[in-house]
Amino acid sequence: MMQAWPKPKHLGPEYGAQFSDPSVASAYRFRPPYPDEVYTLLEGLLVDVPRLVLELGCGLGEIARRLATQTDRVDAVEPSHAMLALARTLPGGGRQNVHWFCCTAEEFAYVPG
Amino acid sequence: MPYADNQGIRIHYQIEGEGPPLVLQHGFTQSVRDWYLAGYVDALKPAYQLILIDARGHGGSEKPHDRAAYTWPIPVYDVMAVLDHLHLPCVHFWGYSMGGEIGYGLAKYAPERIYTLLIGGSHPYASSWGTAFRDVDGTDPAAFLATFEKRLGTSLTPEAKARMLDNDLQAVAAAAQDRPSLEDVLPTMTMPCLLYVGEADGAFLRVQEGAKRMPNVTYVVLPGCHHGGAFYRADLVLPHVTKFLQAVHP
Repeated sequence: MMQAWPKPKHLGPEYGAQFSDPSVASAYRFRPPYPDEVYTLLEGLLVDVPRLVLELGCGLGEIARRLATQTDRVDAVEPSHAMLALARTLPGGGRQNVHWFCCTAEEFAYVPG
Repeated sequence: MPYADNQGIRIHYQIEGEGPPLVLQHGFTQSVRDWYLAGYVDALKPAYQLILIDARGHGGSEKPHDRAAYTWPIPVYDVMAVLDHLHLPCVHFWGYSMGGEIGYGLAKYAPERIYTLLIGGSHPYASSWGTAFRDVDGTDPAAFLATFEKRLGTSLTPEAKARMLDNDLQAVAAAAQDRPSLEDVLPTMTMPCLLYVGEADGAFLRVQEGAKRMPNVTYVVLPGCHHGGAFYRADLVLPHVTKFLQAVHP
């Protein structure tokens, strides 16, 4: 049933602005969680050493915080201050190998290592 | 019956037809059955893949009796759970009344999942159904009905009363929740929207007020219809729906 639709034309910056709203960030706890298959897939991609993860648009860092337990470093990028403020308080959000960046993917300058 | 799961609560859905996916989300105390009864399913399934969803507390979905299980915006994320379960990244979404509030909620909390929005008899301003049902727990059907009719401002027909009493009233009483205003989402709703409302709907003025702030809306008033009646006027509603959908997804 997977559909291969183009990205809807209306999905622009004004939509992204919704995720800056603290009420949207705090509502995230009600979202359906990612299925375990997502983590199985991602963990299968971690073959190089050191094990590095870059997540663009991490939201509350649900994936970043979980992958941090089995990797060397996670860089998590998210333009919403509200999302990151909450992410840091959630389990694993304060781990030393998780690095939070408050910017868009386009603004993020990644220097490996 | 097919179900999706949202954090341990089973959400029942029904699939009909083939084509671009169109979610149908019923109103408070309704269920997927009402879309069939009103004639929408037979009319639309030749052209669309209809995904009919029972809101939690309603129809074939799980029916917790504690109010916390229905905290806003959980019903919005129940829709997302069904879409995830079906591997549908983006859909047309049509909601009536409470289903329309879920539509505004999708625009707010999950805009990436909706291609277009069709909303009937619903506005994004704060609503106080939870306060109205504060002292009604559903154990007394007469008290439930009286509160509901008072809230609507109209009396229900005998058929509508019978359909309502078919619910687990303790579950739907718990599902009656206050909702914060979502009006800040209106100017961002640049996706194609169809908004319709009965002329005699108690929420008419608020629906109309919201329509003025939606940048890409087709706004339709159904002459002479009240809130409950407008849903069942598929003869009036469907021509607007099919024209709208054909324009955005020919």
